[in-house]
Amino acid sequence: MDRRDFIKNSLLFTTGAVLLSGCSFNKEVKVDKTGGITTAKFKSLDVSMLGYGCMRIPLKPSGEIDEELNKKMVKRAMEAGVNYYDTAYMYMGGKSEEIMGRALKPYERASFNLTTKMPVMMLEKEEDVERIFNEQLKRCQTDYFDFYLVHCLNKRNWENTKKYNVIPFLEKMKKEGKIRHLGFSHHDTPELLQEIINYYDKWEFVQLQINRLDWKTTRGEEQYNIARKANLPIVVMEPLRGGLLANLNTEATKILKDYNPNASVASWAFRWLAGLDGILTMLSGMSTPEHLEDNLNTFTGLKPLSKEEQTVYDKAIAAHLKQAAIGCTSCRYCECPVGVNIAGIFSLYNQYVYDDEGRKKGSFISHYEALRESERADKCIKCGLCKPKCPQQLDIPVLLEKVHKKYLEVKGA
Amino acid sequence: MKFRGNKKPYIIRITCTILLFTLELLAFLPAGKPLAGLIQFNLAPAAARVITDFSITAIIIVGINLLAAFFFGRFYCSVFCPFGILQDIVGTFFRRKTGKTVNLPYIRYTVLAITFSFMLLGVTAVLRFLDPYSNFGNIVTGFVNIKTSSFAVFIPLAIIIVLVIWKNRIFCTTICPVGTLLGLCSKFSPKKLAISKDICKGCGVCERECPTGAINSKEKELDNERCIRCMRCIAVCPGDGISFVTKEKEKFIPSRRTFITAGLVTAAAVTVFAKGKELALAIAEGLKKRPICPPGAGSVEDFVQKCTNCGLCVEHCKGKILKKPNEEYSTVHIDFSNGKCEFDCKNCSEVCPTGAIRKISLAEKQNCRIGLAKFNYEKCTKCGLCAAKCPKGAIEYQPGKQPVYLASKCIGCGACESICPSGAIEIVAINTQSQI
Repeated sequence: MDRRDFIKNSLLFTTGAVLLSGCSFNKEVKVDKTGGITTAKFKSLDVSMLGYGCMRIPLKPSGEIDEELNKKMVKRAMEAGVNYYDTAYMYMGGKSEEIMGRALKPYERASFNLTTKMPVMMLEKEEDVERIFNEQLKRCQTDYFDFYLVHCLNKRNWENTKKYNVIPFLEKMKKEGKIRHLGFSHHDTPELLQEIINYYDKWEFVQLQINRLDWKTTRGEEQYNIARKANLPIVVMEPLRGGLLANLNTEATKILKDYNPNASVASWAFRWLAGLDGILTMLSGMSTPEHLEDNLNTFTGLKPLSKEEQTVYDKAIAAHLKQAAIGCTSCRYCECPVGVNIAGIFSLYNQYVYDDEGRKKGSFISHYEALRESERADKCIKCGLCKPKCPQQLDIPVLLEKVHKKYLEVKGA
Repeated sequence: MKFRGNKKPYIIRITCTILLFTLELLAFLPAGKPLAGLIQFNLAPAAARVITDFSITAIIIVGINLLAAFFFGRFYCSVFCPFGILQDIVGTFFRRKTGKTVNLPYIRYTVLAITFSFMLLGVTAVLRFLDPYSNFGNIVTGFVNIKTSSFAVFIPLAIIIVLVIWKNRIFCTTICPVGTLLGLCSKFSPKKLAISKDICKGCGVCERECPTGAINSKEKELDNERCIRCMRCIAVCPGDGISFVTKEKEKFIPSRRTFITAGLVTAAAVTVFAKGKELALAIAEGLKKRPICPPGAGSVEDFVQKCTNCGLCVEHCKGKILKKPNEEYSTVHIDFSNGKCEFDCKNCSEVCPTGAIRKISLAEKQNCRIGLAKFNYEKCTKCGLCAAKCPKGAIEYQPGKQPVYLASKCIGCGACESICPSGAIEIVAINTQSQI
């Protein structure tokens, strides 16, 4: 490259950067007249609002990855118009990228958007960044990634990101055309989210955990607002919160089915999200062809919940939460000084009640008893040191007592 | 032992031995706290402290010990090491005849490599069974607390008596990592104790007298690596045939034995590095019961990985609450049944030679939470004694009402538990100590 080329390139790049940062994201849900998958506009792209999540690729009964079934599902999704595929270095024990590379091989590269992420939690030295990035290109059998994220930013991983100069490297990759759009996925407090957004002004999108359950409990709403204020399109992860929102308890399910017997429980969660502005796509990890079909159904002409439906859904969620009772999000900030496994115990309890007390009686008892004796709820000394640390303001000692009583009750019955 | 030669070095040596041994023994008396400083000169605890609670003093102590061994040989083993001296005492009483002690370099280097690797991983508790000082401390404090000690305390004593009767100081030349390390320093030193080929007539008196089997009178050779400089040979040699000489540096020609040893050592070290921490954690996890640790111990996991159980802190605890390992707890621990952690005392932190209990200031100690109180209000008689005795104001009390516990101010010193007349308060162990 001579000097002239250099000047030309840098001028071009600068203009491009100015233009890109200048044009803000324009939310425009385009409903395909022919009844195809609903898309959102991102710059010049039309991104399907259903994103194919690659963290829950179908498994055979033996526990192996069912690559053939995955290929079939990708084919079905591609035909239906799903064009956002979200994998990561660590998914499926590190196999997800290769599997998706093979599954997407037959299709024209421009016909889909491939997304993967830099596993900053695994970095030990600066050279790792480049090594991993090149490995990812090879695994995915591609020359570029349409969307690229710094993976799972929390306090520690954000420190790593800065320490190992991840952003400058990714910026370089962007310049070389190996990355089209750069963003990050976030798993921490709204405060940190704000800090990350402020730190670097060329983020193009952000991936957040937003769903009806996390809206209040893990301060999802605050995070959503921060991203909106920064004008960053949002990729939604865990729209069903690990499947919980597809499996509400009997009472909640009844409320939804009574209103509309044809709509799946999961579809309500997606349609609730569709009511939010600024959503680029919703990542759904579909583990069976049935999941995929249900989602395709929901996302074909995706409609936000109507006012009336909103009320019904709120009622159902309330019925669900009433039973679950413990709004613990497993952040583990409580750090019990005597070693009671607070988050673990609450999660066991929640799984048990979500699942209509009774059906999972045996598993509740056995899991609870699998905890070390020093970790169980009755070891709580009610010192209350956890209470000020809980972001959900739970009265942990009282709740622990309740769980232990439940355990004794279920066991005795 | 019959003096036939120059007895002066031996007499000087034995005088130093008796003096230092007495002082070290006295350090275990409650009144002997100032002498605890002497204990810190032990090599293994000082090395442990470099890792557990980094201090320049500890590094200097290690350096002095190694340099001294380089210039003068392993006199540490005959003059200062309390466990070595204990073996000499046992030998004096129980040993009938002298027999040739064997040389087992494979074993000693492997043990040293394992010990060293564990220590680098921060698991200094490996010294609990290998370090001579810790074993000595365990035996002494076992006797002092004979009523409460578990039977297990006397196993090391029994083993060492058997070893001494069998092969005299074989522990020092085969197992003891401290001895092996000092031996290596001495081995590569230009200053050597040697048998004069001209004077020696091969009578073999010295060989019979040598406690470590370092002398081969037939070949007229003296192994400086194993020699502990007890000066017995000089005292018994009829012709003054043994003396210090400066030798040319030997050429290093690796033999097959060297290769085998090096291989074994590397294998042992690698094994420890691969699995050591996991193993140590597994052992820590499998604790019989989670103990309350003395202030400055950090977390339970840290403490069990670091404490070598010498028992020095147990003897100096003002409140008499520190106890040796027993059937319930596998490590040194606090037991509040007969007292409390005295607010103005930090003796354990001061005397701990290994750094398992870090050196902390009194202010730090007074804010160090070691446990938390669990109130059983059903037993409470609302007398208010706990609130009166609490040094941190962590219990609020109004006459006739139940005391209110403010955990955020509590350091778990046990003042409330020890005063409560109705047994309504129990101090519970916590995982990690913290400053409040």
